[in-house]
Amino acid sequence: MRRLIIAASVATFAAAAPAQQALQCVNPDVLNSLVFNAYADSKLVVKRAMPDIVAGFGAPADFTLIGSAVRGVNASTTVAYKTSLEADKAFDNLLRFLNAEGWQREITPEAQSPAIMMAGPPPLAAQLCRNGERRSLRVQEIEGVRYATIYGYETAPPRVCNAPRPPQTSTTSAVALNTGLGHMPQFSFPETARMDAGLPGGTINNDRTLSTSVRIRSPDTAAALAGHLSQQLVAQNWSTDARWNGALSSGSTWTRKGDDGKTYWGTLEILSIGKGIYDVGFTIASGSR
Amino acid sequence: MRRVAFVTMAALCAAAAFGQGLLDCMDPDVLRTLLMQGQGQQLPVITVAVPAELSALKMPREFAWIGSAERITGKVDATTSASQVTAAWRTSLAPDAAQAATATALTASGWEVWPRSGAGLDVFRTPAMQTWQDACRDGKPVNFTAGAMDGVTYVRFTIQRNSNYNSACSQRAMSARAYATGLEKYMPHLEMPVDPATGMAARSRGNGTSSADGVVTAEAEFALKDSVGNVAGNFAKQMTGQGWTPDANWSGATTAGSSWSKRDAGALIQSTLSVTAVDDQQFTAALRVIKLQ
Repeated sequence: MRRLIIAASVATFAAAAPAQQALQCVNPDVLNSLVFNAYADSKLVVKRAMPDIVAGFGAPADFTLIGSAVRGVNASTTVAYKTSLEADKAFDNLLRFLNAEGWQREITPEAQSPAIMMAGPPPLAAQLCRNGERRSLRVQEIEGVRYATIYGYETAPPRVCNAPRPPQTSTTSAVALNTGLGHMPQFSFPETARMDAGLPGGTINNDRTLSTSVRIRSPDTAAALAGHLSQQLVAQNWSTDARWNGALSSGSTWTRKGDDGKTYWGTLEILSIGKGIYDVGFTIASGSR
Repeated sequence: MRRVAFVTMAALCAAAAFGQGLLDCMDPDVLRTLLMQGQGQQLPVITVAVPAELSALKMPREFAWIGSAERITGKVDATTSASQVTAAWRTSLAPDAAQAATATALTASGWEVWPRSGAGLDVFRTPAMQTWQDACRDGKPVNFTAGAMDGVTYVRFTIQRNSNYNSACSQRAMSARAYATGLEKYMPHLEMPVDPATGMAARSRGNGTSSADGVVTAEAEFALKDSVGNVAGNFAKQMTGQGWTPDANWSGATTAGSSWSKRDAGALIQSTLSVTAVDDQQFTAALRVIKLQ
């Protein structure tokens, strides 16, 4: 019975932590929940050896390899060493070693500030680049031991050395929507329609879309109202993409090319609230092309 | 023999409880440089100790205690440090069920639990997405979430010690009331479609939500190699699975969507789901929910 229990425990741990040579002694639940925060993307494969890709992760002879950690599918790799050299000398030696392999120091705004702020004495740090590949080099003393780490990662999209990081853009940005405001159609309702005092109404500008809505009272059906408003969209250079007509919701989707060359999408929706009351909304979104 | 095994396990747990860290077996060099990258000077202390702030919590029997981690986050004064404590349980329940069961357990143990923040924030979801919820007891807040990894669901709590950051339960109550729309319980959860090219769920490039005048709109942007019709169809199946009744649907060259309704105790809830292919392999999805009656 004891053998069975022990064997079962070992099998559980082995299955949960493949290739985790350096982490084998730790319960995988502790790692997953308290170290990796239950995010699969945070998981590290740590081993007491160089990673499969060694370019830019080597060090001179006076550095002793601790091991390597790979996060994701080669999304980022860290190789760690310790050394008895003084911090300045260790940093200079490692920098010279990597320079000789063609890795050059990169001066970009993001390279000036380390991504991770560490407590204690500030680390000596540099960002290196070779053929668009990047390595972050750091030397720091922790509890009396001097460590050097080399961190490699892929940039998406690939970026040549010393090129600034492109600004983060949304496919439909607020700036684009300000332009889109000019494309918001103007509607005339049938003469029998009346504005209703009820809510909702007004304009909502999210990061991605611009919406306007109004509540009306009308003797017409939702389909008739949709047809009436669709004619006006055609007249304002919108092209229809699709339409629908349900018991609660009727509407149509539209596209239009702006003077800026961008495509704008419009969604006209008429929602039947009941007793001849309708919420009529138009939402506009823009793409990057 | 069973008793021997049980005693051995208990002894191991007890050894850890008396101050031994759960990472103590590791090489400190590996711990400082590779596992705890960037935290080398002040490593978290990970033990089996249950934080005092959670000692009154009785979790259901489907949950197994793992341990807690305390990380120093700063100095309050010369002698006092601020810290963040994380506490973790494991369970075989799915993340949504685990989070709901945790909320129920907290309520039964005397906590007041606030709804998930932002009614539309977690409508469009990836498997990795975790939503935090706040709870308060005796004026002290905790927050919790559930996430899955390696086929196991982990429920994690965080507690701020000696920190003024978001510490007042009254502020949380005010915030929860300010953002409440009454539509929270109707908001569906839509898993991002799987990319046929990679077999992985589409990664969200941005989520947003807005609410005004009893209307909640949730939005997401994502990249995927698939047609707009397939993407809308995938979401539509999930709407049906969550009790929504179809009203109408449409599919064009670059847009597709559907209109839905749901009745709940006399209330009629309507939602419109629209998907737009804004660029090559780039999509936006929006779900607007409104209470009609």
